[in-house]
Amino acid sequence: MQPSPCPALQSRNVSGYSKSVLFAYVSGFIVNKKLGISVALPFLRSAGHGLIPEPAHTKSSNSFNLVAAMKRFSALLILGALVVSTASDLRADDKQEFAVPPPLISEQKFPCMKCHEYWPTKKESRQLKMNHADVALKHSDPRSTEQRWCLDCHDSQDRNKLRLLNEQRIDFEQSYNLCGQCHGRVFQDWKAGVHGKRVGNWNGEKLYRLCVHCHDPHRPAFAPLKPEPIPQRPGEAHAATGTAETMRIALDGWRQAVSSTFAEIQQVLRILTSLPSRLPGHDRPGRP
Amino acid sequence: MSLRDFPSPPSVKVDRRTFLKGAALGVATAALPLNSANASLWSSLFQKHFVEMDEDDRKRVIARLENEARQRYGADIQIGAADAMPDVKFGYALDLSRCIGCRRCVSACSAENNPSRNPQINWISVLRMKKGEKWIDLEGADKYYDPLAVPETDYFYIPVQCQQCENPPCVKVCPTKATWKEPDGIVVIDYDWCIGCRYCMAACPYGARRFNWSAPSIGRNEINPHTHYLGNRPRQKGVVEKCTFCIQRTREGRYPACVEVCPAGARKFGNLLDERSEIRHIIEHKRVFRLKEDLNTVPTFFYFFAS
Repeated sequence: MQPSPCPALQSRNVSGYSKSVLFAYVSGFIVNKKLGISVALPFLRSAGHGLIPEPAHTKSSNSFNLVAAMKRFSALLILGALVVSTASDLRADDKQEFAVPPPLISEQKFPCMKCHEYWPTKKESRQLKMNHADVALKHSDPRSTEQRWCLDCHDSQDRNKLRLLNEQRIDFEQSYNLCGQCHGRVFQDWKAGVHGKRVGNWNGEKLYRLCVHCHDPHRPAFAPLKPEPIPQRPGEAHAATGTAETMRIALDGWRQAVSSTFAEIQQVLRILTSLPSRLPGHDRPGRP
Repeated sequence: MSLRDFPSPPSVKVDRRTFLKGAALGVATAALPLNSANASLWSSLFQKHFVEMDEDDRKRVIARLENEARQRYGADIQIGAADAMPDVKFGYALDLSRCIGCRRCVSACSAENNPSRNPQINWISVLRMKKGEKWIDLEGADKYYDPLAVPETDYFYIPVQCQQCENPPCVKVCPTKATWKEPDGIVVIDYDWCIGCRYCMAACPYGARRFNWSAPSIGRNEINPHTHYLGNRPRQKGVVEKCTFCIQRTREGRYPACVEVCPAGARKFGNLLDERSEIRHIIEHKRVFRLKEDLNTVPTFFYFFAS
């Protein structure tokens, strides 16, 4: 598991470097011992300072030479170290790893295959009605007509994993690789520590969070926040947030209520003033 | 009433010289450091400038200040005096595309740095400006916006605090050198050396400094006990204060309070001399600007747009 990524020391570069050294050494050694050593010498000088086997200028003798044996052994050590360093990088996905807290998956739902093993997979995009109906997916550009649906990100065969665009499966702990496919610039910023909330030490290990710790993957847009109260000017009482706005709305409502009450009063008055003419005998003189 | 009704003056004859000698002796006796209040007055009168203090002076001064805070606020505080870390120059960056104007940085700063609550002092001002206007108009911006929810459409928000300039005008004009720039970049104030003339407030183009017009009042449970002599220790009436990049935190390697609390992750902080820090990454890869660059104050507070 890599600690906070240092752009100057990408693990890929180190393994590539060591791979080339390994190849040079082995191939050279197979051809000719002296050639192998001389080919690898410049690389080894930088990698294994002090452990370089010196080219044998003298004729090789059959008697046991301790110094030469030690040199050969140290050469083998370097070889072994190079092999190990390259082997550790031979991962299937070959992606950077970050120390992140675990993703927010409920214990009841994970592992997903305990149910999805038995459910058939229906690949049509639809609104889910039975299970997972609480997941309202709203993760598309509102201007586009196309909408995402579940199996765009969740793997259809192994529901315990997420799916990349090249059908590769990744764990939920590495979901940043999935988000980074579309949100590339933000992904670069996140890797550098520039995107997202920062806590901890500025001169220590950067604390990373997964994207999903702040952004709900099914509904990523943030809801508006209530702001903290306005700065208090001297002599002012401590006002509640949104006082001006609340007062405006309240006044509007008050104004509306007053005007509607007036309208009702007007109507009642009209009826009252027209009452005498509605009493029998007033509008049609002559009729009982 | 006639003059006859007034009592006659005392018959003791004291000439002016004797009277003055007695008065001088009385004042001297009153000024003797016999009780603790007098002692602190005496020692504070003869206190040195912070940069001239040695280890013992610092210890004595800190003990006196901690005592005074205990008497005044009833709280046990610790005043640190950590020096600047070597090879460190602090830089700050604020992402204007992420700030939503929620003012949580303002509250967090107040909770951390012990400013007066009544009258209320806030070191950070969040200014609201209309999108699409010609230029950033700092003087015409609204600090007292009061919506029910943020962010509002058509507006963007710029929080402003002390820019910790490399060429600070406030330091230039201080008549007593009570404010100066530390090696790690923070512009600090020795509150016991400040005379409260407010020249620095006149000189600051960003309006970042605040003055204690009255004795600051902080509740006992509101006080942050972890303080620094040059930073967030409780101040007295008549001194200037301002953002110190949370010197009590940053000199221990932690982020300032405003950086940690921002819910949108708009605030970034780090060491400008470390090529691998996020502040350096921002300066190298983002569109970065500073406020009032034409005044040549060279702020170390950068604003940028991540998207």
